[in-house]
Amino acid sequence: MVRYRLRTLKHHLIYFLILAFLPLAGQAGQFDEIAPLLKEHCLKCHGGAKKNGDLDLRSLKSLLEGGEGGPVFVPGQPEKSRLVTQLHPGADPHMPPKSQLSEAEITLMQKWVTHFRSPEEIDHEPTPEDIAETLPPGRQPEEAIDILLERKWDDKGIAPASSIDDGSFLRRITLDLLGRIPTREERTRFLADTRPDKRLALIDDLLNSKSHARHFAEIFNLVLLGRSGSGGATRADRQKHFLPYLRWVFETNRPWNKVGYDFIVGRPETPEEQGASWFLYEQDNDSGKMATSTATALLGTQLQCAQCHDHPVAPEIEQKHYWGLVAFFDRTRNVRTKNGPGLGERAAGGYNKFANLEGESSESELVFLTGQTVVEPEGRQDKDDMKNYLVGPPGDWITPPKPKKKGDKPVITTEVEQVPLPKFSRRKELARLALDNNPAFSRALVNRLWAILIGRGIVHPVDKMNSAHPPSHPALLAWLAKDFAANGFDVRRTCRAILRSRAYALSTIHPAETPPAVDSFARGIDKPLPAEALYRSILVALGSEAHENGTVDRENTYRDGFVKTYPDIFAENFSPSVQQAMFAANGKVVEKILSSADLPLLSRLNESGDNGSLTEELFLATLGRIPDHEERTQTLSYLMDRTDRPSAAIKQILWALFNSAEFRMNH
Amino acid sequence: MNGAQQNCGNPEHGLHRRRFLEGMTAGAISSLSWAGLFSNPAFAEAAKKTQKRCILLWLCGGPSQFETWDPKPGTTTSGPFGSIPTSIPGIHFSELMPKCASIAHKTAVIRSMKTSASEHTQAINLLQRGHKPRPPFTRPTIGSVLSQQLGQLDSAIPNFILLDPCPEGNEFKGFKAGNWAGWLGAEYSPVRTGGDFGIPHVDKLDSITTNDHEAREDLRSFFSKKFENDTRSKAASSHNAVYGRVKGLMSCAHLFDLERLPQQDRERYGPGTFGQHALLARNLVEEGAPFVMVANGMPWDCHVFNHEIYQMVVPDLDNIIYQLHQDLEERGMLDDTLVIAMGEFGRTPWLNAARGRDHYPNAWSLTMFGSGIAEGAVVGATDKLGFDVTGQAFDEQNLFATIFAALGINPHGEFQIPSLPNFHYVEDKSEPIREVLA
Amino acid sequence: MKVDIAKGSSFKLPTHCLSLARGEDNQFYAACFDGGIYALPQIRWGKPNKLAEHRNYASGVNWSRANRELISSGYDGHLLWINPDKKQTTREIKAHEFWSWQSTISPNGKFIASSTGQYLCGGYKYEPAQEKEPSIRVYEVLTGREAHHFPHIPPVESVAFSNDGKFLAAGNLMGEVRIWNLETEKEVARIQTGNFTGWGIIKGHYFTGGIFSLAFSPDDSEILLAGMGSTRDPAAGNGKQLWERWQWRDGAVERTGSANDSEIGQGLMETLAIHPGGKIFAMAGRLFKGQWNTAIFDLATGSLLAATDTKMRVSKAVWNEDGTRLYLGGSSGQPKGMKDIEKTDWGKVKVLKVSVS
Repeated sequence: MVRYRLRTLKHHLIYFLILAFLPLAGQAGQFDEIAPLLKEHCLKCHGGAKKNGDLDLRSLKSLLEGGEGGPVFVPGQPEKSRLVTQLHPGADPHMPPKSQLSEAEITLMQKWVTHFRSPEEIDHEPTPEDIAETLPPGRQPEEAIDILLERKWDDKGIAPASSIDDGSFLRRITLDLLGRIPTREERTRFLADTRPDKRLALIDDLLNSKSHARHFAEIFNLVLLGRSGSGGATRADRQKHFLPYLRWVFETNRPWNKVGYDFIVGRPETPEEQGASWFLYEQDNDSGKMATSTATALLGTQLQCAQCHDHPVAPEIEQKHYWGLVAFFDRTRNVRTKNGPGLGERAAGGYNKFANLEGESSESELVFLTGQTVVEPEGRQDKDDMKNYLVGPPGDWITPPKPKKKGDKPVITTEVEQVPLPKFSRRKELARLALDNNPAFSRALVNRLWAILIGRGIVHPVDKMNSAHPPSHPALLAWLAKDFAANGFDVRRTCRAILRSRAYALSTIHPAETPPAVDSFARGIDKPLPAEALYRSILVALGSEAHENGTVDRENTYRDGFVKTYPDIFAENFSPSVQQAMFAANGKVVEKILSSADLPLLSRLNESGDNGSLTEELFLATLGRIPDHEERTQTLSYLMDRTDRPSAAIKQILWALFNSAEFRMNH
Repeated sequence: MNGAQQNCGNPEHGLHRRRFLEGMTAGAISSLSWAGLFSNPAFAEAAKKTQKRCILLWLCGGPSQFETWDPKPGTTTSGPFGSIPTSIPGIHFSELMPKCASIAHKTAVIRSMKTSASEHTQAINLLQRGHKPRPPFTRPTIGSVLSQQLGQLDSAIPNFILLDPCPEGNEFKGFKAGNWAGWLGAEYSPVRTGGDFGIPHVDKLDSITTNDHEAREDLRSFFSKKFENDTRSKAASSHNAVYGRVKGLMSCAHLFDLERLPQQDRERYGPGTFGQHALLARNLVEEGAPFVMVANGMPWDCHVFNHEIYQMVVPDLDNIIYQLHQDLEERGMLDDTLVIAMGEFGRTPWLNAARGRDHYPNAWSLTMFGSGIAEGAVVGATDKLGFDVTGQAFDEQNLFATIFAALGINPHGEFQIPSLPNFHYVEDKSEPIREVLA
Repeated sequence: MKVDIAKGSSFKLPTHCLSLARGEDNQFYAACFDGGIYALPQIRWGKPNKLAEHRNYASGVNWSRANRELISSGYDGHLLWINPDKKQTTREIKAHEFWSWQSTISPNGKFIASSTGQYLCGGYKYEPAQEKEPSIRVYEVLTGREAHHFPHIPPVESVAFSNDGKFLAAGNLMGEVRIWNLETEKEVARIQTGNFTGWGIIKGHYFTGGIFSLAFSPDDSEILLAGMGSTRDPAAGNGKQLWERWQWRDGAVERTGSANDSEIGQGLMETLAIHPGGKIFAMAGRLFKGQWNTAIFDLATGSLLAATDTKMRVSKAVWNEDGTRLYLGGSSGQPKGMKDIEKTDWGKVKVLKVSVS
């Protein structure tokens, strides 16, 4: 790929200045030195769930605020700092109360206090954004990726792995973008292509294809809403509403902020936008689920743990943020129109209190994760009124009718002509806060795309983007997010950049004795195939046409068998189970697929002349390469032992190849 | 319970302790020779020769010590359940545990556990791995380590079995989906089954002969291991590890079938899932499984309705521990099988606003019996209201040192994995809890 | 109908208050975790007066007009007859081996009923085991003689007499209510509502919840039930703040009403109290999510008339004689410090001023 060149002396200087400051980059860098110690020994009593002496030690900011007795340290003077003096043996009061920090740990605290520089002082130190800014202007986004990664590699003395060959590249990108291995024809064509920029052309061809849109629609269906539907929602519901919408999103490369609006606000103006309402509709009027689903899917952060108390280790997530987010959804009410499901919203009500474990209850406010609050323009509305609506709801939303039978629940109309729309919409306010000028929104999507294509997020796991999970490459994440937002939240652009980068094409094999850590992105990352990709790839290898048609749309028990057995999709850890191996070894599904009489490959193989070419065919069809000498020998031997049952032998060899790690992984 | 009484007042136990001290020279007390951990060095030798097994009853969620092994009757923290005397003079358990009380003189209880993690995810990891996390390294769980130490490489029966019929369990669910085996590698992660998690597809299909079935796997293994070696791929290694288990699992799948257990046994263990799977564990261990962990979601985490639930789960556990002890004793397996019942922490002395108890790692209890464990040992004590440990407290490292020692493994031995720093089974030369070892 | 609620006085008790009773001249009595039966002070700054003590939590206290005594019940399974003036226990009966979950005196003052039952594992899914002793016992107030006993599936968490004194109802963990004719001792109705019980899919596979309070309507044609709505995660306490109303007479068992979803939040409801005027009723318990922990409903229509958050868990609600005050007994949890826990009074009774127009 293109190498970065230091254009001007100015860039030289800035670059080296950055390098000098890199270890201290950002305020967090300094606090990071003592953060692990505080987390291990102090946060239990001075953290999220408890704050003894009113002292919160989870962040630099809260540490600086001190506690009941005022500041806990004096910069530069450890002997005057309670943060240090109370750690010594015999101190009274002694911290921690029931244990003793080691000499090394006390020294660390001492050093930190001695060398402490206030946030004002280190304000001028470069942030990840600053570092990213130093990139020479006018560069393609993929060059920025290369530059930022290479800087870190240089800094740590890491040599990246080499690039993969064309055949491997084709397999990798076809799996990533189309969710299957390449066909024989695609492979032959690509390998024969002599254009020097054929990889770039391939990237664009695939990104612009309908197959890709369909694959990403499938992936995002699972990633945004999970595999199993919530409550009574079925796969049929997703197929009917959600998938067509997602397909349209990826076919037209709809700007992702518009997608966010489609989900949260849910006011479709065209028929294509209709299915987006399913995102919230599926949560069945449960505002808690709407909130957690939105936070995970669009903001990359899990909020569930803040339901009962402040987050134990990420201080920026408090209970009020969870309940605040819930409040934005509290007026939502599912409706059905003749065009499908819709998200009605009331103009009144939706006021709640929440209790913590101590039993203290607080009123939940319309507060977003950033701390921004929304004040209702007309003040608190407990009683509803038609005049508060732009599109009025059924009359019984305003005045619930007298029930026919004494004490029955009043029946509220949910079949409507038009989706009820209040003048003041909480969800619209939320969309504004969450999607406009919210870097977290861009970072979340960009991180997810990186994880899907590279195999691991810059923040890992992708749904835990909080202060307890810092990015491995803060500047890279910041740059990608900014580029994404500045270019109309263009998903395809970011994907294209990642795919064109040097990092994307690196081999998973690294020459070093101890290969560089996986989060350095200095080598390729093994990506286990999700169920659908595994199934589809088997069909492609066998020459079946069904792989194109065998999408989520159609009822398919074989694919379902795979989905049930291999449910993980972009899991945090790859954890194969013995049940999966049993499914492969003894399950009927695999057996039936291999036994289908009309598979082109099998007929071709059965007609194959000598065992030598048969062996090659087997490898080419499944692994996309010819066998090496040892593999050839083993396979020939296997065939020779079974001359009385050649088709059984072929099936068995196919089974062995399909169940090899080489087939199972995208590597 | 007087905090000064570190042992249990049982004169026999006092004798153990004295003999132990007599057997050591002053210098040897600080020596970390594994054999020296026991009062009787001959035991150490014997331990090494026999095949050891372990059953862990994992009481996820954190069981309340007040309603189990360390009741505080007549105090503001007692809760509504009283205490009953046990077969050890001067020692009382909760009135909800009459059966364990009757065999207390044959088991051991530790009341002075003090650990540092108060949230489930951190605490489960801490008590399952025996050490605080040290990224980027993932310490293997106790089951993985023991399955490596006690298991046979090519045994049919899996070396690490997790019986957990509850698919959910919040933080425990997250833990179950995580990395059990750490730096030992995926072949030491558990085979998980139980309840609806059966082991499906245990029988070979008729459409393939047994020879071909095995040969096919051999061929697969050849291709796949070659790929693993050529690429040094960890993912490939995990992948291959599970295929390596298929044959063994097929041959012993019947051992996982609850329906095949004798009806009287099933009735004795109580009808609930936990009891039934504890029985299954006993059966598996009898058949040679070295480590079986039995869990059932996180039922002990009663922030709300503590006493309404504990009136049911504690008697259930009481019966299960009792039946396990009786069965193992009857089968002559007690000397070679270690049984542990514990959670990741205890519960608060005070009742919260929802009339439940919250998490409490500050002072909590667990019980053990079997291989290497002193009979009738009650180690440690807590103060009058159960707020804190009086006297010496023990943490996860002491506990793990004890478990390893009891099973004939030197706790301060090294893992000796190339490419890793020198990790020991137990770090910092943490001592086992001597009073609990036979 | 309009109902207004305002804060009134409050009293401290040594420990959580599980039950309250109204005696003569609006003298209130409390039953608490420490086992004590207390007379609440008549003046705001007075101290509660301990009259008797159970050996375990005191779970019920009832006023007997006939002999001007209290009858209390506790987790020790005992019933105590107490003379409040002399602070003497005049009779003690061991009613049950296990706890008395709830006790109640019949409106005509003749009988005292107490329900029991330990939840024990009785099935693969931890369904409750069958009872080991009769789950409900009924005694004559004046003599202490056992008049009836009835079977049920434990734990039986609530028990109530009809206003005409002819029937007795009892509800359990599984949401089953049985109603007996006291004269014939026959079961005349059985209500099965699964809505009050959760099976802990998320945390643990056992049943939680149940019917914590029962009350017959003034004309006895219907019965109100209260508890917590079913949820996959009862350990979080996040089921609905639920009441249901059922008709039960003459074999026509049918639900005639329940709390409106739009008016209720989440949390366990432990107590129901029908207003002396017979038109409204109060329900109270714990607030997990929502607006209130104490609410007043229109008995006929079931709609919410007024509600408030008293910022504590309420176990028992009792009206004063003319229905202008609602007494709520409960607590906000035990103090957590070792020093405070033995010394601090952490139980509470809060009084609400209620006006109905």
